[in-house]
Amino acid sequence: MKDIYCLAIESSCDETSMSIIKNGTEEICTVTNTQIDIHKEFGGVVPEVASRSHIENITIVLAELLERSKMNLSDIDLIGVTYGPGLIGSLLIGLQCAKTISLVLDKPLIPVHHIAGHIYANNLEKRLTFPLIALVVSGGHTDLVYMKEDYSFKKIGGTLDDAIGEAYDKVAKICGLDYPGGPIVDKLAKEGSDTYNLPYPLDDDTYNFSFSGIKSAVVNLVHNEKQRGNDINVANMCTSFQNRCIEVITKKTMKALKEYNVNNLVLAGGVAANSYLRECLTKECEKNNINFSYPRMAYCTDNAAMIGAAAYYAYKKGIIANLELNAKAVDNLYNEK
Amino acid sequence: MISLFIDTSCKNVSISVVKDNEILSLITKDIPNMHSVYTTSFLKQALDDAKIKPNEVDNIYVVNGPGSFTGLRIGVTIAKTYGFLIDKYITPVSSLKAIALSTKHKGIIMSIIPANKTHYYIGIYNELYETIYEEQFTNIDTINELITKYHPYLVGVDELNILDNQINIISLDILKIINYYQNQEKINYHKLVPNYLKLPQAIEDKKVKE
Repeated sequence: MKDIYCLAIESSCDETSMSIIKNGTEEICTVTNTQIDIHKEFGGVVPEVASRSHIENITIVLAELLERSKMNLSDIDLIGVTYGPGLIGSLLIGLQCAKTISLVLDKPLIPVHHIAGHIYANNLEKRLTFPLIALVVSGGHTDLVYMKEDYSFKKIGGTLDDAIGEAYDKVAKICGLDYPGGPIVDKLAKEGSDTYNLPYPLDDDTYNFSFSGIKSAVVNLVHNEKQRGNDINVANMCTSFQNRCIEVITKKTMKALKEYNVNNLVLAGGVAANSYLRECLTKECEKNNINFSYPRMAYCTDNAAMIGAAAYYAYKKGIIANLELNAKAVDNLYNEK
Repeated sequence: MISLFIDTSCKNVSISVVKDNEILSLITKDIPNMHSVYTTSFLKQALDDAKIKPNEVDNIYVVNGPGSFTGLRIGVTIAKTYGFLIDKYITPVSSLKAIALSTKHKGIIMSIIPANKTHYYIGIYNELYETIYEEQFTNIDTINELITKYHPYLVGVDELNILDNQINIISLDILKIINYYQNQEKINYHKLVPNYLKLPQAIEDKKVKE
C-alpha cells in the first residue's frame, strides 16, 4: 500500500506548529513556534497578540518544516488542520494557510478537532488498541471519552464548569505563581505537604467533573489568610489542591474502565504532562491490568504532529472538507451517542 | 503576465485574475463576517473562470491594510502562503490608497474606512496619489479639522455613520490599482504582515499603565 504523508497545521492557541506524519503513526518532522514568552507579560494569552504572531510565523514555520524534513510539497498527500476549538483569530491563520495549500496543490483538506488530535498523540507512541477510554485533560477540557474504533468518539462524562487546566492556572495565579501555572503547581506540590482542608471536587457516582468549588475554596482560604495578615504556604496549598483533584479524576477514570469493561486507557491533553496524574493512573492501571498509554512531553502541549496522526484516520473515515471549511471557537467532537 | 489581486480588508471580498491589462475574472461579494469561509473558494473560482492554473500566477497583489484586523489577516495569510508555494514575492496594497486610485476625481482625495464605532482609518493624497497626510487611525474631530484644512474629495467603499451625503462610495478599479502598484516594491512572503495602524488594545492598555 502506498504511504500517505500528511502535512498538518495547528494554530488554535499560542503555538504555530506544522508537522509531516506518515501513515498516521510516524512523525517525519515537526516545527513549532511558541509564543509563550510574548504572553507571559500579560499573565495569559491575549487573542489579538496571538493572531498577529501566528501570521508573522506561518510561512517561516512551513519553510523550516520542508527544509528539515527534506521533503517536497509534491510528496504531500493530505493537508490536516485544526479547525477548532480554540481562539478564533488564531485558528483562522492555520486554516487559511491550509486551505490555500489545499487549493494550490490540489490535495484533500482534512478538518481535525483539536481534542481528537490530543487523543491521537498516543498513536504516535503506540498504535491505539480498541475499545479504549481516553481521559482528556487540558485548559479547555476534562472529558472521559469511549472509543470503540478509530475516529469514533463517545463522551461519557465531562466538566460542568472549569476545566482542570483552567483550575490549575487560576490557583497558580491566586498563589502569585507565574504563567502558565499548571506545571509550577505540579512541581511545588511535590515539595509541599497536604495540610489544607480543601473539598473533594464533585466526588460522586457520575463521570462528570467540577472544579469551580475547589477553586473558590482556594480563593477564599488565600483571601482570609491575607486579611488575618498570615502568609499561606504555597507549596502546601499546591499539594492539597493537586491531591484532591487528581484523586477524583483517577477514581472516576478507573470506574469508567471497569463499568465499560475496557482494558485500554489513553491520557490526552496539556494536563497529561502532570506528573502526579501519570503516577496515580500508572499505579492503578498496573493494579487492574489495564494498558495505559500517555504521550511524551512534547506531544502533551499543542503540536501539529498529533493533528497529522488524527487527520490520517479522519481521512480513512471519509472526513474531507471543501474550501469553505470555517474555524470554530467551540465545537463538539463527539460523533457517537 | 498573470496577476492575482486579493482584497479582504472591508465588507466586500474582491478577488481578480488579470492578464496584462485585461481582467480575466473578477469576484466581488458583500459577505460581512464570512470572509474566512469563502475567500479561498472565491480564489479557486476566479482562477477557474480565468482558466489559469494556480502556479501560472506571476504577481500577487494583496490589500494589507488598514481595515478589519481579522479581514486583513485572511487575505494576507492566503497571499503569503500562495506566494511561498509558487515562490513569488508579494506586492502589498494600501486599502486607503486603493480607494483613492479608484475615483475619477482629480485633486486632493481623502479615503475613509470605518474602524470601530468612534474611529476611522484615513489617508489624504494629491492628484498624483502621493501621500500628503500619513495614513492613520483617528476620530471624527480630526477628520473635520482635516476637511477644513485640505477641502478634499471624500471617498470610501463601505457606508459610514458620519459625514452624511459627503462621502462618495465607489467600487475598486482593480486595473488602475495594479497599474499603479506594478512598479512598487515587492515584499518577501515571510516578511509580509498586515498594516494594522493600531496596536492590540491589551498592549495600548499596558503602555498607559507604564
